[in-house]
Order: sequence, then structure tokens, then C-alpha cells
Amino acid sequence: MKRKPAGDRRLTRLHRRLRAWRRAFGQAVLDEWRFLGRQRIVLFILLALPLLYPTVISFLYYEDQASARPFLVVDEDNSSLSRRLVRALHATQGIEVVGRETSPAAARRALRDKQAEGLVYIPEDFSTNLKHGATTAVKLWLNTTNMYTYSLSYPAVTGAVTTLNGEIGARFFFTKGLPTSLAAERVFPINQDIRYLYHPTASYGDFFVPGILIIIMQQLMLIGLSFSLGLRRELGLDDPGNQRPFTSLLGRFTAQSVFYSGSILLLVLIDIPLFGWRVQSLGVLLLVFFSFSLAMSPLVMTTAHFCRDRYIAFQLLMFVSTPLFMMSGFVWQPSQMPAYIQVISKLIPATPALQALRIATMKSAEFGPVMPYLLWLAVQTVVYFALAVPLVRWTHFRRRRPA
Amino acid sequence: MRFRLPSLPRLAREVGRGFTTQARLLIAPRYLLMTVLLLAMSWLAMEVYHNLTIRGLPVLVIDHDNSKISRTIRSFLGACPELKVLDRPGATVAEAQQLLAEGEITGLIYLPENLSSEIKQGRRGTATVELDMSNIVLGKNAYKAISQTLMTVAVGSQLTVVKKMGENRNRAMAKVMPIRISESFTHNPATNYGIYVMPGLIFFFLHVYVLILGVTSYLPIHPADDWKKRLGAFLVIFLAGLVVGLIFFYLFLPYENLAPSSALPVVIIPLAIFLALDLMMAAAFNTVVPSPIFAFESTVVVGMLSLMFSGITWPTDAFPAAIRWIAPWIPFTPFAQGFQTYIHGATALNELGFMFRIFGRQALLFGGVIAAGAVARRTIAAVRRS
Repeated sequence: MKRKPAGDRRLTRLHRRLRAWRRAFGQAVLDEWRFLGRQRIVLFILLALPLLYPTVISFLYYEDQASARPFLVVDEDNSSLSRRLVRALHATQGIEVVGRETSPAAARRALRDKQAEGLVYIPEDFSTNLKHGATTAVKLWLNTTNMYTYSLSYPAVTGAVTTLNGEIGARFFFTKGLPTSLAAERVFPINQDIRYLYHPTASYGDFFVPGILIIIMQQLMLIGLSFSLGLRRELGLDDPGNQRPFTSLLGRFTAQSVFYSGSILLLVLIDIPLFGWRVQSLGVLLLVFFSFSLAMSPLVMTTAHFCRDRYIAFQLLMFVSTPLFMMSGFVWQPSQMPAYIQVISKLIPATPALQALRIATMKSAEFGPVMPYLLWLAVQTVVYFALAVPLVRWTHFRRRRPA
Repeated sequence: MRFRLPSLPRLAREVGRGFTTQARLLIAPRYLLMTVLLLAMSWLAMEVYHNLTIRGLPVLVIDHDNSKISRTIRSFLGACPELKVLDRPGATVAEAQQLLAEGEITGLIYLPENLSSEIKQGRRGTATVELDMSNIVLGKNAYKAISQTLMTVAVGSQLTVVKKMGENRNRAMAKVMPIRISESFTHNPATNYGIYVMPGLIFFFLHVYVLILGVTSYLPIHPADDWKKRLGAFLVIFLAGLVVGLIFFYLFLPYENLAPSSALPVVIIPLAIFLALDLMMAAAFNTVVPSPIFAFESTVVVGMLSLMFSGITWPTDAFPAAIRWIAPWIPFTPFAQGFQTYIHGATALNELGFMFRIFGRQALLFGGVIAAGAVARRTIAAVRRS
């Protein structure tokens, strides 16, 4: 019989290997689907997490902007000017005068008891000082532990006072003989034409919620696969003699990907439009979510590989999501973080994903601006796969070795 | 049907057994890893805000006026710690807008060529500011710095005019800025983000840790099989939580210059009540939800939402009514609102009435649920027996 040439033999061997790999992969996919059908608790997690968390969080931030911060006023002057100031404060969007106290001490007690966030104290010599041609002062106590509410109420107070200052300043020029229109022009002579780009409302919900959705996806993948594999091990369904541990993991991940993809579609195509979160292009956003899932996949599989039971997924992974979100630079710019945190943040798939998400939700509907971040995710995918395969294989075969 | 308490020595023996088992569990690899993760992740989350305030946001000034006023604006902007004025001579508005789009700069300040001439002719000059608000934290900080700078220069310019009009030097300021605001920022005088975020984050992790340990003691994998042993286990979890809490208060936070300003009892009493209530909440969930695994999952779900529900980032009055009703029943909510007061200012216990009142209501609710659950379980068992 004529022997095949060496090249052909190699091809046949490769072909056989590929076929075996495909069979193992397909078997793992089917096995996971059957398992999900039998173990409703895993299915429940895969369905409940993307339904519950985004809805609750979107519902929580639905107001989008927290306006009218509660303020107290102590007006010891009770002049027409002080009353105008109080009215001006009340008219701002940022604060709402919820009470008038008779003494600063009582008002500060109310502040301490969290009945209000700020206090404006108008002393009794407020208008008298002005009449004598001197400057006068109002005292502002503001609880600044919440920087978000501070960023709303402080500009409101300064804005109201500045407006009043402007009026008084214009009156001075008027008394010097300038017509009203020119007098007004002389006051604060540099007009600030401030334009908020990409997010004109500067609202909190639009800024924050889409980022949280990425983190929900991350948790869904980590917990879903770890819980399933942990439960499988608890039930003794894990096959320690498996010759293709990574293929098996990949198959199970692929089986669950149906739910991950469904969740992404739910988040991007239903939740975001339903709650009206700002987005420039749903297509780009979908691409960002899918690229992120792909970059997360080797990490998810490796984590799940080490989960010995279903509980460990909850016990350990719950501590991961928030710090990763913080380190991603989504809220606090990476350049403001210590150098070693910047290095860690660059390794996390959430970092490029959240930066790309920011562009897709706020800045641009084009693919171009998000491409560098997608490339970053692609590099992470390749590197993490290259690390995950030998790690999973090594630990799997090491576990099998008899003691 | 009668509920008989075991004799004191027997109770102590059983509680002691639960205590020893849980103490041994805590040094088992799984729980040890959990504690290490808690400490490591808390540290990392805290370190993100190590700088405390935002500094050096890149902005570009395009000065087509190049007058004394515009140069003053440039130099004042350069002196703002929050801003870093980039040196790009000859940059056009289009180029700057491209940099804004790419996220290279946070703001663009355009000073047109007629800025000073308009002011000299008694009209308002206009400075155009474009800010990248895609990140509201950075955008608002840049806005505040730029706006204050422009206002300062404007006031200076107005002051010059007022003086030229013959107003007395000492009284001129009263014609420009007659009303001053004397600010007193309580609890966070430097308005830094560390105070805003750090304690909330790390104690949120502690909350999740204690809740998870608490509900784990009801799972089939846990050796505690009756309430006496579970009480012993809870005691260990409580002590572990207390130790970690004190590490956070007296090691982690001081490292970030946020050492508690109040005395030790003011720090430790709310912490102890918070931890005890967390464990009561875990027990109450296990009483209400029939399956331990579902109780475990629902407790973890509520635990994970507690940071957002606490109102320390997003104010509670902006919550939808349903969540506004739920939030005060989570022990983390009053604890977080309390530490915002006593970490940052010397506070006496009697000044924390708002926190203790909510703690009291929670203790009543959780205690009631646990007691009702125990009675119901015994009644059902008695009915079944009969």
C-alpha cells in the first residue's frame, strides 16, 4: 500500500483533532443547556440579574437631576433687601427654602439632624451696612459631605447673591448719570458664555447609569458561569477525567452566551430607550457591550474554573464589581489616581469598555472614536485567552494527579 | 405550645460550640480569601481617591485679544490648582474643539479680539467657555474654576471703573460686590471627594461582608444547625466585623488623612449597632424567605444595592417613593448618614439622635420578624404533629 506524504498525514491529524475538539465543544454546549433546563436556580440567576438590577437602578436615578436642595434661612434683618435675597434664593432651581428659623443655633441643630442641607444666615446689620456704603455679608453653612448636592446648591446661592450684587452695582452707575442700559453693561463687564458640550443638562442619571449597566453585565457573566460550574461540582457532575478542560469551559460559556447576548439586547435596546438614558448610537453601544463580553470571557471562564461550589461566586465576586468600576476612570479621571492604580485599571476590560461607552452615550455616533478602545479590548481578549488556556489546563491536570 | 429556653449552661455550651466552629471557619481558605478580598478591594477603592481633590484639568486658552485683561485671565487661570493651562500657541478654535472631542482637554476658553475694547467702551465683553460635560465631575470642577476666575477679573475691571468715577478707594468694593458670602462648609471644609466617597465605599464592603457571612450560616454547607449555634456563629461574625471596622476607622482612613474626629465611643457604638443590625437583617431574611439559597441571594441583592440606597451619593429625596420607603430599613443607610457627621467633626453621641432613631426602628422590625417567624414555625410544627 502506498503511504501518504508527511504533509498530508499532518493535515489528517489536524483534521481529526479539530473534529474531536468540535465534538467536545458541542457536547459541552448541549450539556450546559440541559443543565440549565434541569437546574432552574441557575436559569433564575441568568434571567433575574439583568431584569432586576438595571430596572431598579434606572428607576432609582429616573429623576436624573436632584434639584431643589432643602435650605433653611435665618433672616434677622427682615429688610426689603433681605427679603429680596430670600426670594432670589427660593427662585433658583438648585435650592428650596424649606424653613425659616428664628436663631442660627436652632437652624444649625436642624442642619445637624439632617432636616436641611444648608443654611443662609442674614444678620441684622445686613441692609444697614449697605446703606452706610460698606460691604455686607451673609453667612452660608453648607453640608458638603455630599459633593453632588453641594455642586447643585452652592452655585445656586452664589448665583442669587451675584444677581443681587449686579442689581446694586447697576444702581450705582445709574446714580452716576449712566442710562439704565449702559449701567447694566458696566456691571461684571465680562460676560461668560458657557457651553456644556456633549451633555448639556449635566444630569447625574445620564452620566452614571449606562456605566453601571456594563458592571451589571460583568457581574452577570462572572456569577452566572461560576454559579453553574460550582453547582455542577457540588452535584458531582464535574468530569475530572476530561481531556479538554478549556474546551469544556468554552462550551459552557458559549451556551450561557445566549443569555448574555439576550441581556445585552435587553439593556441596550429596551432599558436605555425605556428610561430615556442619553445615547448617541445604539449600534456603537451594542458593539461596545459585545466587545466587552468577549474580553471578559477568558477571565470569566478562569474564575469559574476555580469555583468549587455555587456559593463562592456570591461570597467572593461581590467585592469585585465596585472597585473595578471606581478604578475604570469612568467617574474619577485616571490621571488623578496613584500610578499603581492606573496600571491596574489598564488591565481591566471595564476600563476601555466604559471609556468607549462614554463616547457612544455622550459624544459621538460614529465608530471611529471608539475604535482605539475596541482595539484595546481586542488585545485584552487575545492576551487573556493566551494566559487562560494554559492556566486552566495546568490546574485541571494538577488536580487530577493522585496525591 | 410553649417555647422553652434551654438552661443557661446548656445554652452557653451550644453558643460556645457555634462560636468555635465559626471561628475555625473564618480561617478556612474560602473565608480567609473573602476577608483578604474585603481588605484589598476596600484599599484599592479608597486609593482611587487618594488625591482627594481634582487637580490639573487640562484646558486651552485661545486669546485673540492679547490685552492686559486677557493676559490677566490667562495668568489667573494658570494659577488655579484645578486647571492646567496647555501651552499651544497659534491653536485655532477648531483644533481646540477637536481636542475636546478626543478628550484631550476638559475646557476651552476663547477670548475674542474685541474683549478689552468692548469693556473700555463701557460694554460687556464676552468670553466663550466650552466644557466637556460628558464627565460631570470633571466638567463641573472645571466650570467652577473658570467661572470664578472670569468673575474675579470682571470684578477687578469694574472696581477700576468705579474708582475712576471718583468713588473712595475704601468704599469702591462696596459698589462692586456689596454682598459677600461668608462660607462655612460643615464636615468637608475643603470640599474634597475623599470625604464624600471613601468612608461610604469601605463600610459598604464591610456591610456586604457581614451580610454574606450572616446568611451563609443558614446555608446547608454551614455546620450551624440550630439557633443556639447560629448565635455563637453570629457572635464571631460580629467580632470579625468590629475588628475590620476598627481597622477601617483607625488604619485605612487615617492613611488618607481622614481619621475620625470624634472620640472612640462615638465611633464604636454606631459601628457595633450597625453590625448587629446587619446580622439581624440576615436572620430576618432567612425567616421570611423559605429557601436558604433564595434568602442568601435576596440578602446579597439588597446588600449590593445598599450603597446607592443609602443616599450618600444620590440624595434620598430624589428617590422614587418605593425606594425611599425601603432605604431607611437597610442598616447601612443610617450608619452611612451617621459617619458622615462623626468622622469629619467632633460629635457627641447625643448629637446622633437621627441615626439612633432609625437604628431603633430597624431593631424593632427585624426583631419582630425573627420572633414572628419563630412562633409561626413552632405553630406549624405543632399543627403538623397533632
